[in-house]
Amino acid sequence: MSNSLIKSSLNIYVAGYGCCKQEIIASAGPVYDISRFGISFVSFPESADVLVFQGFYNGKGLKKVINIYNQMISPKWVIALGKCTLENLSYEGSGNNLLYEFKKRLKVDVYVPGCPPRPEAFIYSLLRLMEKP
Amino acid sequence: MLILLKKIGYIILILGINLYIVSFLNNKIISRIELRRGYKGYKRGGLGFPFSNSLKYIAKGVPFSIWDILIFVFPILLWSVVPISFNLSIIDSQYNLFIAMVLYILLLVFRVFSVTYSKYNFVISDFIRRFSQMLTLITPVLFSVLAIIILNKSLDFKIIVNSQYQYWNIIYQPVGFIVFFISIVVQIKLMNLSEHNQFLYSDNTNKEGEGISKLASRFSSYLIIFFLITLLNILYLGGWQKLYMVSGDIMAGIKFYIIFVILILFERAISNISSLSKIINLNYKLLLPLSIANLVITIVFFILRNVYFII
Amino acid sequence: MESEDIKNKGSDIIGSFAENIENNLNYYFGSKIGAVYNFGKEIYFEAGYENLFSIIDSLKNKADFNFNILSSIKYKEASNFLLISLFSYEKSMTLNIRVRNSISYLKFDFKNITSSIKKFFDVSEYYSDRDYIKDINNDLIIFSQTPETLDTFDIYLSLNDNLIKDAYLCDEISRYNSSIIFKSMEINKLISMLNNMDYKAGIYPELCFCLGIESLLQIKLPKRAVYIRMLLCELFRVACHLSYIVSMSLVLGNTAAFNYTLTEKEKILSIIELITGSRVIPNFMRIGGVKKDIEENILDSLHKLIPHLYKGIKKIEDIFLSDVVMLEKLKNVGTADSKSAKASGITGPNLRASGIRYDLRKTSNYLLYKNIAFTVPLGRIGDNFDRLTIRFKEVYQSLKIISELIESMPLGAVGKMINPASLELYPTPIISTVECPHGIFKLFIEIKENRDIEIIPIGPTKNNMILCEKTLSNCSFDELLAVVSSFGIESAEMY
Repeated sequence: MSNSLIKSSLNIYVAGYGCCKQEIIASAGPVYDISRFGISFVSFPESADVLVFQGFYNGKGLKKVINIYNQMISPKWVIALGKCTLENLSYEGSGNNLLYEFKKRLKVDVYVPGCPPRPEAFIYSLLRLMEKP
Repeated sequence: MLILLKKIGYIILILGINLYIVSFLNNKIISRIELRRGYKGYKRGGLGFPFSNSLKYIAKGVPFSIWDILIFVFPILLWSVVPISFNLSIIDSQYNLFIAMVLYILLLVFRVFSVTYSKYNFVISDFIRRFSQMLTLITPVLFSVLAIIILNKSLDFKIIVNSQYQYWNIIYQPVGFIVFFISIVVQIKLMNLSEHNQFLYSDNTNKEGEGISKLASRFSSYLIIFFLITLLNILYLGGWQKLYMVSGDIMAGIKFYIIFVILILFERAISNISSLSKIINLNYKLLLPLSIANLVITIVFFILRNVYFII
Repeated sequence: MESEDIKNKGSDIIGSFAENIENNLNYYFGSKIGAVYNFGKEIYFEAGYENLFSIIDSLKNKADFNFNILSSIKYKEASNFLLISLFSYEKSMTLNIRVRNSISYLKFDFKNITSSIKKFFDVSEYYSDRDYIKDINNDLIIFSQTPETLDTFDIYLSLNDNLIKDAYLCDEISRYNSSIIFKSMEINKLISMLNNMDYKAGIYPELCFCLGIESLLQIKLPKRAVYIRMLLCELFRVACHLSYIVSMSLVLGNTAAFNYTLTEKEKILSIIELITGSRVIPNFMRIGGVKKDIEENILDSLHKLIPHLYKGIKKIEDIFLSDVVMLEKLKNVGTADSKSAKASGITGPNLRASGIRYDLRKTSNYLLYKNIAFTVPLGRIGDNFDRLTIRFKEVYQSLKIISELIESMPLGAVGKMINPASLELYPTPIISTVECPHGIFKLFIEIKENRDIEIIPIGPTKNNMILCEKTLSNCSFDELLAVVSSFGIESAEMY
């Protein structure tokens, strides 16, 4: 019951930077209009329900994301977005496989492939997250 | 006793319905201005949005502080003094307006306090800064309210409304009305009352709130807007005076929603004000001189009229 | 005919200028430096570590050179790579010095190098590792957050009541020490990997790489291919500037402008998608041309769209100019005068906002920009307002260029038939530059033996950050976000 209440109006925290972020911001615009599903963007991890994990990271950036995830209040969900996070894009200090490192510490609910995924794909991933019990 | 309970029930019912309609309207109007469609809902229907959006905060189990309780209770207390309609007021006193203003200022203090009192530490300088910000906005309002009191020679809401049976006060006090309106718009802007969540970012008095405290602040912010609109309505626009054939209560409702929509439009048209100096500039260069001039003119007219009657 | 002659003469003069510098370099330094490569506006040579500081000294102070601006220092610890570039606005010329140790495997002492260069250029301090500042400036720390403008760096501040004494932009989360080395890869496949070096305008790294390889092979392109390249460049420039305006309107808190700008940006992106097949990452440039031709009906629809775009963007500008609250945050706030702008070596719109006319599209003749009439807009004092309005003006100029390009689009082939796998590339360094929306984007390409290619991007971001730090030191805290975002900082050089 409480989960379905929260899922009816999700707050998103977008971590990282890069090409995928361009498309996320485009999805906030009037053309794609993500807010019609009650989804809004926040800048405090405390008030976020969903962490969107996307873009380029090095070792320090990854530590920061995990810190953000720990600050979020459960129930919480994670969406991994884009090629850089899904494939073996190794940067210095982050080990070989970024996602492997990340998965060791937290659970990813939805994966979205694409470089970068279109705004429709991003919105669809959130709708799938809402459908999940 | 039964009548009192009935009245309380009516007031709570009216406030609840208003809360629902206003938050729904707020969402729709804001989104229409920005070329969006507003909340449509996915499998749950767009009409349930205000409920789900606010009840959501209860679902996250987070402890809350004493300030949240005060913020939640005080706006409800306000409505025991302020009459929604001629019959719907619980406490009938001669000093209703005075009590309401005091409660309102106290509420603002609590609100500012709860913002600065985060779980990490309490910053006194920040509190004083924000409070002085609010106070500079309230002083012109107080001056224009004083002008109304002198005009109608009463502190009672009912007498003020009844004295407007022929002409509304806005005809005698156009400057005061403008000052009151501008300060309401800026207050809504400053306190981020119309909770708008598009990329929440460096918003001034926005608490890093979660859980019930967020719900309390949202609730109180809507009730403050209601209070300000009702005050504007009663003081300047004739309150529940009936107009031609339309009965008074319906008239009050219509005026309430018209003012609310205009307020939202104004609020959207102005971009975020973040710096203290700009607000103080606006206040001391425009609002305060206007309100003082208005007050002085009313006092002079008041004296002259009395002198005339005596002669 | 006459005008063409004059233009050709002009380009000849610049060419001889570069040769002069080349001769002077050989005359003054002789055996101290290696072979001198001339890439038009860029001159590249190698020098030993022992002679480095004497060379820099004479390059800065001798009247024949007078290169008085430090443009960038690029250091890669893993591959022991050090490139120092000096710049002069008067000559519009860059000298790139590749420093080599006498013993090749010995690593540089980077701290020592930056502190020695600081004798000549004060800016050198900003390129060194400045983690010690974190301990001093920690009155307030702003971590990188969700919105666009603050996502690649943290801000460390030391405050004096409400005034910022000192600011430090720490880019450690967007700092990468490795370089990309592509091993015996097909060059056309390699192009698709370069896009995310500039993720707001992905066409520019591709273009930069192709121009570099083409100048090496001395390929002359068909005219239509060049025109299509210019068309795409301008489309991406408009999209990039619009995304800057989006972030600016977010920070200033006007959501109406935010939404209007996004709708206009979507129109541009849909045209880009029609042409290239992708919204953000085009992968459209090829060596010797472009991937495919543009159909006539797309050009027609773009031509019809331009007046609507102009109207829409003008409307957004009116929102910015008519709002008193926003104007107070913009005007006379965060002023970067031309002197400090020059010293930090910035390029692009931020430089032009400070009142210095320098645009690679005018000064060097890359692509065919000399065939097209357009002006380079200028700001006056370099405050937030100038930095914002100059983007609007550049957008109008770009729209003008686009309509001109469509009207005079020549017919013909769009590419040379070149098989990249059969190209014989001999080991050599290449430097190629491009005027991207943020400034001058530079790629250092080194072709090694075994057909390995090492690519190191040198972007305009670092210079913008330096200037931003300088201007922040006199602002009040309320103006911080507006000033930071007005510089349009993004991490282009990730590798």
